[in-house]
Amino acid sequence: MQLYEAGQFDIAVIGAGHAGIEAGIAAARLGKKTIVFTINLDAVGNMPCNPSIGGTAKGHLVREIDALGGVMGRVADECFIQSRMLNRGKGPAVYSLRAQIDRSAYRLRMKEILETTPNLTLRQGEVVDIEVVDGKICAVITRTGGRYAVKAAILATGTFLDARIIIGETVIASGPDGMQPAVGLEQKLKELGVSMRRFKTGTPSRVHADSIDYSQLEPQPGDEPPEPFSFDNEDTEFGCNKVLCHLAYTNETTHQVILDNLHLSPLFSGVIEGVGPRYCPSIEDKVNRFRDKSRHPLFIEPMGENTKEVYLQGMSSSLPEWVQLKFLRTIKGLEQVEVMRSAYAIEYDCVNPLELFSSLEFRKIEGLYGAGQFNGSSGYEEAAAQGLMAGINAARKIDGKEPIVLDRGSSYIGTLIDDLVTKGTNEPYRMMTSRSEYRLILRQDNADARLMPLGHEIGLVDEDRFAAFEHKQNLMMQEIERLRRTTAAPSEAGNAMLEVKGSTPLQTGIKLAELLKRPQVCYQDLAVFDEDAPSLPRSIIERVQTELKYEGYIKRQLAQIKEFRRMEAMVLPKDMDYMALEGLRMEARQKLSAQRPDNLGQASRISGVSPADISVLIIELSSRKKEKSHDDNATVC
Amino acid sequence: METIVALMTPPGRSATAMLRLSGDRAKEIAEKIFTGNLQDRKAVLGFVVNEKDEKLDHSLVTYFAGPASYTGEDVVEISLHGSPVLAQEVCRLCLSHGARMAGRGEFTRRAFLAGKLDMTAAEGVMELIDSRSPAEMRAAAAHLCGTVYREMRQVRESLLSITARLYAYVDYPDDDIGDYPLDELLQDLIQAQEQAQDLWRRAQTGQQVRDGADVCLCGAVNAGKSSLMNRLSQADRSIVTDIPGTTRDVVTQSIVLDDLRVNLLDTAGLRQTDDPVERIGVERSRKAVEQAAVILCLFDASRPLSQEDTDLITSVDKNRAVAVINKTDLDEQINKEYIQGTFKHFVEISAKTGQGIDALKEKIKDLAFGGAVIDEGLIFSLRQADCIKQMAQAIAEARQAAEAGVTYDAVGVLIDAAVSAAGEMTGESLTEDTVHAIFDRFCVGK
Repeated sequence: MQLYEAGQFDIAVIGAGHAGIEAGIAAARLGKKTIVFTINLDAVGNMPCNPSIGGTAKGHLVREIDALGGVMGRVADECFIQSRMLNRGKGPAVYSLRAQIDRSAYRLRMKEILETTPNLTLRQGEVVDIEVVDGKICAVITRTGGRYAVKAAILATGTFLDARIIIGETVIASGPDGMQPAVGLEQKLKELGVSMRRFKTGTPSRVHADSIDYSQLEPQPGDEPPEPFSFDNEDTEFGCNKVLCHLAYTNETTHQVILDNLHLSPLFSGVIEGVGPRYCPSIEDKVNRFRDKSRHPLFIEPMGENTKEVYLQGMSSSLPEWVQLKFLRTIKGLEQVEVMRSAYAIEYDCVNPLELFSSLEFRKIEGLYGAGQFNGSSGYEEAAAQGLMAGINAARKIDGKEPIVLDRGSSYIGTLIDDLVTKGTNEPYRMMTSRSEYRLILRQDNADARLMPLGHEIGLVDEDRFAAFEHKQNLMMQEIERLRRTTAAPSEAGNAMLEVKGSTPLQTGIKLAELLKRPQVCYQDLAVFDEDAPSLPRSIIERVQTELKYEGYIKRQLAQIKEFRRMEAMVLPKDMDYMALEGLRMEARQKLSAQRPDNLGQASRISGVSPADISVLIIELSSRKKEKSHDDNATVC
Repeated sequence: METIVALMTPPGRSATAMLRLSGDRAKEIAEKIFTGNLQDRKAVLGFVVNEKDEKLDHSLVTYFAGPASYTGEDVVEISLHGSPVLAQEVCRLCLSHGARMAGRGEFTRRAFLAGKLDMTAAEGVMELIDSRSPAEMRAAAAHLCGTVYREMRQVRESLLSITARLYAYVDYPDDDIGDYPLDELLQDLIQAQEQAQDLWRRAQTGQQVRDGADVCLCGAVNAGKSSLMNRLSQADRSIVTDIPGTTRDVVTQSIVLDDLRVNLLDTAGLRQTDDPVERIGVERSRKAVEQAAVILCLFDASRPLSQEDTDLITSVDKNRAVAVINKTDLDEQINKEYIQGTFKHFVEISAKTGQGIDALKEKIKDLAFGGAVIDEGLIFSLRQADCIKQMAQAIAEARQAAEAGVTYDAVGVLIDAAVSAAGEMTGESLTEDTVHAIFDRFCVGK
């Protein structure tokens, strides 16, 4: 193939899924001349799996992306058709926003944004090769012979790389949604000595809405009013619920059909080599592993306003098409169901994320970054979060600035990336609230307070937005101070309210802030004791309430974060010879030599490095320090 | 590793003394001073010789080739006859051949670093070495055998199963995994709390076993406190020790009663005084009495009760107090019935003849250790005891929070805190402080 010089760019982004979009837009907005490649222009921002954004921990990620200046939350708010705050009863740390999205509207909107972002070129094309000179990326090459000279590149290939789709015995070389796979790049990476993985994931059938008997199903309405992802849309009428989701259940007959045909599953027959996610099992996997369960729930979710296609969440499968149809039709309400797209499993190549620094740059190839499912994660939100950070860090690298590395105490984004690059992953990695040690601090409601100042400093949050944020913070602080100062006096009406709530009546005056800490009392209940209460928007009231109610726990977690950061601050010297360090077990010596963690905290999270190894490192560090101070003394003498 | 040497047995005259060498050159150094032919894991008889080839001792020497040795390095153990001069001379020889003196705990530190001991076992070694009574020694040995570690693991695992269920409930709102109803959570927390409290109770017993029970002697100047003190300590003279460096200057002697350590505290008396110096003494005595496990109230049988005696009788806590009528060998003048009726515990003795002393010792033991099942006592370092306390507290707080209706996310934070305290104790999760706290005792980074 004869190559031609197709152009010069600062940054090439390979892939225009959720990671590629954030990476491309962030890089372009930070002033870098950026080109975003997609295998198909009609698939920009595609959702090949569930038509929803958010969910537990994922909703947190979207809020954090928004606070840093990413686009996912804003566009989700524009295109949502139903929205729910999950886990309402379980506490503010785990409230999680999830919205059903009009999939085609989202795609079109994202494409439009990419098309209109200054400094950004959107190009259909399959990148099949990269040029690396002296360990540094310098060009990317498309299948059709275009050579694009670049200073940095971000790989965001999603599930396209050497992908194949499996339905029963049928195996097709294909990317998701019938799109062509990306082939060639994985070979190049392997040649460059990069360790690659083969992962697998799956998606359920899409069926025709009119073939479902909704009268047999449990409707699931959205929240009224819906809450937005983007902080810009807080306390505004940004949109409304337009559709209902429905809940259905499998039954013993469904399970029997599946069990009778289990031997036809490519997972059991060995056709699938890739490792699938435990937390997102196929229906056959669920039925097989939990034989005592008589039913499994499935959620019927519309794919958009102008389509009859609906998604069957919880029913992903790689059984043959005829088996799929047979078991679906055993479900109450789905007896006449017509399938429009079959469920399938997809296998793809991705990188072992231990190949990456915390900045998401490759350890072995300077200027090359990875993001999204290519890094071994799963989910649109996880992808977008990494895309944003890779975009920011690639741009900063070109500017000669230090990379932005979020730590575990700051965000779910930081936790996600730290987990990937220090612990690695053996299955597609999904964010969960239980992955964070600091859940009460890393809430979705305070993502702006945690990250917007940084977004502003990076340059992705403009002045107007930042001013609005500061105004909100001030209002919140003032209200917290006011509640701490103001005393609630015992009153008949007030005590009557407390008794109704199941809380002890007041004998003497008590500060409003203290009263609010009672589990039974909410902010609105304070009104009866609080005549001078200012009128505040809902978002601020919720923040104030959480900050005060959970103050003790928040303080405890802040102390933990402080301790955590102390370990993170213990820098491991770049020249440390782990192989020669007496006392380290051999596995630890090898792992530490290979991964070269930046600090002691990171080292402690590497699998295969035990607490005993960490104590050896601590001792080594302190004796180095001692030696150094001896040397210093020597020069003084 | 540099080769280190130290005398393993206490200094002083004894039947035998043992020197240990550990490090790369242990064997080489041993061969220079020993005529026998060293063989791995064999005790070899031969002569220890000096630079001039003069025979110093006929000794038994055992060589352990690393890594199958205590420290994981080459180790040589030399059994000498127990003369301090000889031991010193052989030590000097080792040093002259290139060894250096081991720091405190350095053998154990090397063993830990070589992965021969886990953290609790390493701490157990230190406790075992430091143990001052047989009960304490047994408890420290439990450490070394990993009992403590296993018990702590159990609590930690109970907690982890709670968090697993809590997080599944939170992370998968759509899945049919079932709620975690409050009463079930509470039940699980109560169970974990019981385990933690049991461990904490046994830690306290262990602490009592290690530090001994304080027994305060009160009474008028002429009641015979010093002679009782002498009598009690004479009973077991060989293990009478002073407690050096203690701030409790009222302490005079420590004795061992049937394996158990008891600290005898002589008080300066409790009477009112205007003398500022004496007041300080009285204040200290009052504190000692307040904290003591047992208070011995001494009365002179040969005199009627004085005002000071009556003051003591009315003020003392009868649950911890034993009325000790001394000088039963003399004519009885005291109102015995009154004392017998006021005190719960009552013993008659003669410090001079030794009559009644055994009964008194039984009484002391009963009162000081009666509630505790000594053999269940687990010895912990202060650091470990603190972890257990933190864990028990966090579980209690989690339970309170859950009972008060606090949301599960916050309850989870408290359970996490309990889990991490448990991990700190077993060494499964570590902070810098932990490591330094432990290795300060292991003479780190010489």
